[in-house]
Amino acid sequence: MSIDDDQAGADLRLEALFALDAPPAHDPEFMIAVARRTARRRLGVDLAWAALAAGVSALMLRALGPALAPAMKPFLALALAAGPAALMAAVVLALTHPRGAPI
Amino acid sequence: MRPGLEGGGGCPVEQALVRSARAGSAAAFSSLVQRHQQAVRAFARRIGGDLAEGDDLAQEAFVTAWSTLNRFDEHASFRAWVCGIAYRKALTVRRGLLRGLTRDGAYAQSRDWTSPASAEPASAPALRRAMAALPTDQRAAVALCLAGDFSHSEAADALNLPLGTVKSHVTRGRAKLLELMGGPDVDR
Repeated sequence: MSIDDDQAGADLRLEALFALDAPPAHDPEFMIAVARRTARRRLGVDLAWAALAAGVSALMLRALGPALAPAMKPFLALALAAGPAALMAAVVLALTHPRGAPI
Repeated sequence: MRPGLEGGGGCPVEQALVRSARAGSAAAFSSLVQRHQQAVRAFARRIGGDLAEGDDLAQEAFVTAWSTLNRFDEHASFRAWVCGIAYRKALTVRRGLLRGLTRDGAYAQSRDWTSPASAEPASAPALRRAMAALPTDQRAAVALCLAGDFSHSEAADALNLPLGTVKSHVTRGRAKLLELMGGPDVDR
């Protein structure tokens, strides 16, 4: 037997040993685990963007508030008047129409 | 070529999946994971330590791939790209662990390489121990080209190493594996 034959045989045996602990071709558990981690990462990214947007908005309101306040006064009065009514309507809707049901 | 281990670089179906996944399709990304999980997990298990750690590493690599999909060249091999991510993550983890240990050998000995040994033939743990004794880059090249079905150039892309270096790692790694496992008759 030549050295090449020896080496080819050794390679085949190594390949067979490696194949023993090869993962399955289809593994739903692994797929679910990846999907779960991806969703978690996506949620983290979304929350970070939302926090950033909220922070920027707060800063802008703080900076522009004094200048905008006189112009916003009529709207503010309207919101204060209509706010409780809107809140009540939202609570009633939420209680009488479960999530996903048509309104 | 073994089923489920096809490279897919330049494959139109795969390119379409990558484009859909980039556009936000979770189903398309899931298909990509399904197509390549076997190759990526096999690689991660061989460089990451035990089976559970390897699977964890593979999952993290897929999640990182999802979040950096815009940087992927769709004409390249997706599985090589994800294996590259897994390799770099493994190197980072290993560097962190090694900071607290004085020698590479101490690290290898500290791992429980034989934990899933319940129904395995005696040679499988021996092979795992022999793999653990290889330097990291050699082990990665062997895991891709000998244990997996990556071409040398695909492995070079994954590991970000020159082609000649990968070839030499595979040759030396194979020789060292056979030596550690008692010569060419590794299963006798």
